[in-house]
Amino acid sequence: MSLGYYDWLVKVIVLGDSGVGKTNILTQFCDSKFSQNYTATIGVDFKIKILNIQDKKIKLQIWDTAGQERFRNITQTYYKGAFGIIFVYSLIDRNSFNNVEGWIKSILESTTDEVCSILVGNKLDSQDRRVQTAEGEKLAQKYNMPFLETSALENKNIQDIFDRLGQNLKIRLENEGQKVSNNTQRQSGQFKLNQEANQTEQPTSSCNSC
Amino acid sequence: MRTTQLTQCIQKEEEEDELFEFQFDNQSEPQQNLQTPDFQATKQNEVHSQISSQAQIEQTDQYGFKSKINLKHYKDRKTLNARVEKWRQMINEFEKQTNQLIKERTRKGIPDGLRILAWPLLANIKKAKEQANTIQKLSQYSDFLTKEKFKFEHQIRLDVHRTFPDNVNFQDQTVLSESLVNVLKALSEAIPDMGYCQGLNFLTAALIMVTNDENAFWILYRLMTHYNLTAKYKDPNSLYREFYILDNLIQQYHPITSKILKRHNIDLFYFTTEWFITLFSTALPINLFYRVFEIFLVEGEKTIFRCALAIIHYKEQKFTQLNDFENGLQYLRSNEDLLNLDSNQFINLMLSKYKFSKTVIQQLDQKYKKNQK
Repeated sequence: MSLGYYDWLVKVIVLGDSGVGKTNILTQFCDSKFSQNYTATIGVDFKIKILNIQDKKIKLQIWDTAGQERFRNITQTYYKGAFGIIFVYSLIDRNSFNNVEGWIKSILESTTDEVCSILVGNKLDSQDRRVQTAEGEKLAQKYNMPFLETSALENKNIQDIFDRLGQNLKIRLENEGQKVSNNTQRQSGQFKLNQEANQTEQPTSSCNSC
Repeated sequence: MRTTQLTQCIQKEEEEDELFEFQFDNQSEPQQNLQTPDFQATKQNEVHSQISSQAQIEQTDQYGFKSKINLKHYKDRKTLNARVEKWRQMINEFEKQTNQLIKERTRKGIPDGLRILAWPLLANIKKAKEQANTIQKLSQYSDFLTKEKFKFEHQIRLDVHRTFPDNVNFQDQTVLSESLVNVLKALSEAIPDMGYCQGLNFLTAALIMVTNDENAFWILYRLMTHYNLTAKYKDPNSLYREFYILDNLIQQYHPITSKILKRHNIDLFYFTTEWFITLFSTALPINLFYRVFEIFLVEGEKTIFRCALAIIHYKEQKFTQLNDFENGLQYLRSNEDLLNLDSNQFINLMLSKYKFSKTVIQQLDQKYKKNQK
């Protein structure tokens, strides 16, 4: 978690039912590994990764969340300021697909900000598919977001999730470039250590303006 | 202003040491005959020795953890033997013991092999059975497992193999992982308005590594009904009460940490949710968790806040040096440097540095409720 140079700091949250592979997607993306030995996420957890999109570096502060319905209320408080959202369901769990629209709606209701989202159907490696590709595509179209089927286990399309999301983030951030750089008080192209921490809520402002 | 009042309150009642509503029933059933603590006698040890002998996999500690666990639990063999003898006698005539003695001895730690007998007494599970009998007309653990379908079984099974991945007992289909499923299913039936909440899997797993399924179930039942833990599992949103109370105590005992947390917007939600939901069973080395847990059984909720403060004590120095959101929070969330804690040192610090009575907690609780209105 070193503080290298980056152009933007963006808060991203990962949402979806319990057991769909949210933590595994993040571990694969951030630490390049898949672990059968992982624990259920209680509350939230977070990881940091710098994403290179063309000539820009986007520092992602990615928040992993507990999937069980009853944690939704308390984690929702902390969604604010999120600029990117990854909605995940499992291709082998029909319920998780049925519920993912609920997750999408709950975000649309709780935030007036326009966020960059992506829909992900995970566990592409399994033979026991219960949700067809076309269904995922249709849902993604309905909410106007990109869609990918992935396997955290086989590291398939995992980087693509973040590249796709990153492309959209970059376009929006650049459109609002002037505001962002004013808001975040960048100094010599780099956040100052203390200020950076103060600015964890700063992406909110960039978000509002998108 | 609020802090000043709190200080006065803490000072005033500093030496007050009340027990957590401890009711002993003089007509309690005679205790089963005690043998000297023998790990082989308990189920989990049978399971564990099976696993060890079958596979000779990696080396684990007595509870099945592969990580390096601090086994320096008692000062020496002689102290341990004396303690075993004292607890044996105490368990045999538990109803005759004074609350003060029980408290003092529990604070020193119950010998491992006797926990299986001592915990049900400390938690007074007899009351739990009476209550279940009154409310649901069910008084046996097995009564809660007769259904064919359980509403929460899917979620429970999802979480079982994600419970202590570092522990051989919960990987794949072991006897203990089935125990874990059953106890959690029974609990979700026994307390239907709570059902199953993620995080309970860790607490329950930690208990069934020491005691049998039935006792674990009744202890949990008692935790929910008598120790008032239900609210946070029913709706984790109610943890704001815990955050509020702990926040005030951190201001009081660790003002520098408190300032840095606020400066960087590090909400207690981010790193203490897991502490409260799993009762520290994921944060502390398992031996130390058991020490804190049994003190909690005797002394009640203030133990939870004392333990949280003690963890902050150990993390304070490094945390204040980090002084930024990401690194600071990552450090507060990590358990690595807690793995090598000396259990006795931790307990001593927790009990001597944070001497406040339950009245302090009650007052903060009332303030929180008032603010909510």
